[in-house]
Amino acid sequence: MTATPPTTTARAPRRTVLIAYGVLIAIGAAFAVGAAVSYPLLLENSQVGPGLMPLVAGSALVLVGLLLVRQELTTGSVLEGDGAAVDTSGEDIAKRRRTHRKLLSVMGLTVVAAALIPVLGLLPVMSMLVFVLSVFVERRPWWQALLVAIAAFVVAYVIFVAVLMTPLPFGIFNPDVWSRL
Amino acid sequence: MIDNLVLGFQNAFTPENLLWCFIGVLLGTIIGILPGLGSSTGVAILIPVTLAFDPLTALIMLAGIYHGSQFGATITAILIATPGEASSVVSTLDGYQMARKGRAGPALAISALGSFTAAMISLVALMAVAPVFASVALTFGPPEMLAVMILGLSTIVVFASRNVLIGVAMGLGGLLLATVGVDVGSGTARFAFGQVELYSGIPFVEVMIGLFALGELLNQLHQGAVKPIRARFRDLILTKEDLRRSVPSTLRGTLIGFVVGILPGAGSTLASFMAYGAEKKFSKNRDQLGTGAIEGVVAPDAATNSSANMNFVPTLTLGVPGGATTAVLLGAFLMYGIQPGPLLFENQPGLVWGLLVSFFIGNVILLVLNLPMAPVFAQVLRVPYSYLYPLIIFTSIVGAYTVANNSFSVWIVLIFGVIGYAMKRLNLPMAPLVLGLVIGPLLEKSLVQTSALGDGNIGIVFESPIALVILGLAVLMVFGGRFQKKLTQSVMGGRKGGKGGTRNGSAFVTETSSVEAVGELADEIRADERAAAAAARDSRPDRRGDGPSGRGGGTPPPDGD
Repeated sequence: MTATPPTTTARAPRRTVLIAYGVLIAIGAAFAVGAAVSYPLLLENSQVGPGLMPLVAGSALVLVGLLLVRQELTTGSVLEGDGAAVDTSGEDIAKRRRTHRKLLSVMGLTVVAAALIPVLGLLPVMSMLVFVLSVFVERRPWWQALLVAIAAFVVAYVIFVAVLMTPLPFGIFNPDVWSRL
Repeated sequence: MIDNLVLGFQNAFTPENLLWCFIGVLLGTIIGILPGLGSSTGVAILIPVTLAFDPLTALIMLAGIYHGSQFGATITAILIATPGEASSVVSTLDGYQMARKGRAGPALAISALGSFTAAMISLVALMAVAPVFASVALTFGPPEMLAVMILGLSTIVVFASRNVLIGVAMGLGGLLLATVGVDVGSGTARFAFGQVELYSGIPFVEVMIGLFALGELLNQLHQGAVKPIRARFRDLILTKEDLRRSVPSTLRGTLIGFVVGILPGAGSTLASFMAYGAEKKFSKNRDQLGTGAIEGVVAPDAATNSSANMNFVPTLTLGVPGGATTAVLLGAFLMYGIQPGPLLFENQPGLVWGLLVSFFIGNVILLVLNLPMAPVFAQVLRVPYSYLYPLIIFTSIVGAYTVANNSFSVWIVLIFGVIGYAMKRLNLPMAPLVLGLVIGPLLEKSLVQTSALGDGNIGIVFESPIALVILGLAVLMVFGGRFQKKLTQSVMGGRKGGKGGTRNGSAFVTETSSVEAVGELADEIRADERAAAAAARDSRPDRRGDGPSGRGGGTPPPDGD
C-alpha cells in the first residue's frame, strides 16, 4: 500500500474523500430528520426526549461534514489522518484489477455463505467457505484446503457444540431432519 | 488494601482461572502476531467463547488476550516492520532497525522486560489509584458523569486523528449508531424499523468483529506480506550496556503511560507516541533514535503496557472505557450483566480484585513465555495468509452467530466489515466511532438524568464544581494545544520549519508538549514506519508467494486504541 505521504502541499480535492464526506453528511441528515419527524425532542416535564440526541448529533455531523467538504475543496491538504484516501494512482492496473476481483470474490462468497446458514447449517457452510476460498480464490492444493476446513469444523464443533453446548443450526445436516423423513 | 489483595489472590489463584489466564495470554500473543488481528479483534471474537464461563474467569481470559496481544504486536513491529496494534507503530522505528542490524533478539528481549517492568509498576499504581478514583466517583451524580463522558469523547476525538474534524465526525457517527434501539429515558424504540433485533440497539460485539476483524482482513488482502527477520534463542541475550540504557527510558515510558492511561478515551497509542517524543527530548542517546536505539524500543513498549493497565482506572471506576480495547471489554462486562462504575468496587470486590490480581499473573506468564519463546512465536508469521484469512472469516462469523444465536449478527458483521474496510482505505479512525457507540447510551442516560435533576435545565451541570473542572479539562484538551501553538508562534516569530525542524532542537522541545505536536510526531513516525516497511519489502524481492497482492508500503495496524 502506498498511503498518501504526509505533506501540507495543496492539491486538487479527492473524489473518494468527497464521496465519503457526502456519505457522512447524508447519515447525519437522515438521523436528524428522522429524529425531528418521528420522536419528541422534549418530554412533558421538559426532560430530554428520545429525539434530542439524534437530532443534535445528526445536525452536528452534517455541519462537521460540510466543514470537511469545505476544507477539502479549499485546501485539498493531504495531512496524514485527514481522511486521506489511500493513493492507488501509482499502481499497476492489472494488479489493482486482480486485487479488486479477489476482494469481490471473498466478500461475495462470504455473503452467499451467510445466506446459506439456515439451509446448510453454520459450521458446515463456514467450513465449505474455508475450502472454497483456499482452493478457488487462493489456488491452494485441494487436499490441504480440505484438511484445514475439516480441522476448523472439528475445533469449532468441540468448542461450541460439545463443550459450550451452543444450539447451532445444522440445516439439512441436522439428524432430526433426517429422522423425521 | 491488603484484605482486598488477599481476596483477589484467593479468587484468581484457582486452577481454572490460572489455566484460562495462561490460555488468554498465549492466544493473545498469537493474535497480536497474526496480521490483521489486534487486541480489540481478539477480545471481540473470543467474547462468545467465554459466555458460558463464570464472569471472573471470562474477564481474566479476555484481559490475558488484551495483555498478550500487546506483546505479540511488538514482535511483528520488530521483525517485519508491521505493527500488530496501533500502539506498536512506534516500535517499528527503532525495533525494526535493530532487527536489520542483527539485533532482533535483544530488541524482543528488552521489549518483554520493559513491558513487564512497566506492567508491574503500573499495576501497583492501578491497585492504589483505582479504589481512590472509585470512592471519588461515588460522589458523582449525573452532571459529573455527563462531564466525564464529554471528557472521554473529547480526548479520543482530539487524539485519534491529526484532523480534529475527522475525529469529531467519527465520534458523532458512533453516537448516532448508539441511538438505535429503545431510548433509556422514555422507552421509545428509535430507528428500529420494526426489527425486533434492533430494539436492544446495534449489537456491540458484532460491530467490533465486523470493524476490526473483517474490515482489517479485507484491508490486508490489499497489501503484501513480508518475510520476518529470524531471531534465535541465543540472540536474546542482552548486554549490560543495553540494560543500563533501558532503565531510565523504561521509567519515563511507564510514567507517561500511567498519566495518559488514566484519561478516559486516550488509549495506549497516544502514550507510546508521547513516550517516543519524550525519549527524543530527554534520552542521552537521542541522536541515535530512529537508527536502532534500544531506548526507542523500550520506552514506547513500557508506555503502552503501563497505559494498557491504567486504562482500567476509568473503565472500572467510571464505566467509561480508556481506549478501544477496553471499550470492547466494557461490552463484555455488560454482556455478563456487570455494570462497571464506582459501585463495582463495593458490590463486586471479589471480581474486581480477582481481575486485578490476574493482571499480575498474566504479566508474569507473559514474561516467562515471551522471553525465551519470542522466536518460536514469530514462526506463526509463516502461516500462509491464504489459509489464515479464510479461518479468520470462519472464526468471526461463527463467533458472531453464537453471541445471540441468530443470523442477524452475521449480517451485522458483514455490513460493518465493509464499513471498516472503507474506513481503513480512507484512513478514517475507528476508535472515536467505537467509543461513541459505547459511550452513547451512557451519555444519553446522564443527559436524561441531568435534565430530570434540573427540571429540564441541563445547565445545572455548570453548577457542579467537579463537573466544571472536568469540562475545563475537556476544553483544555481540545483547544489547549492550539492555544499553546499560537503562543509559541507569536513568541518565536513564526513556526519552526516543518518536519525536519520538529525532529531535533528547540522546535521539538517547544512543541512536544502540545497536542498538535503529538499529531506531528505521529505523522513523522508513521512516515518513517512506511519507509521502513518499504525498505523491508524492497530488500527482499523473494516475497511470500502465498500472500495477498504484494505492494510497497507499510501495513497500517488495526485501529486498536
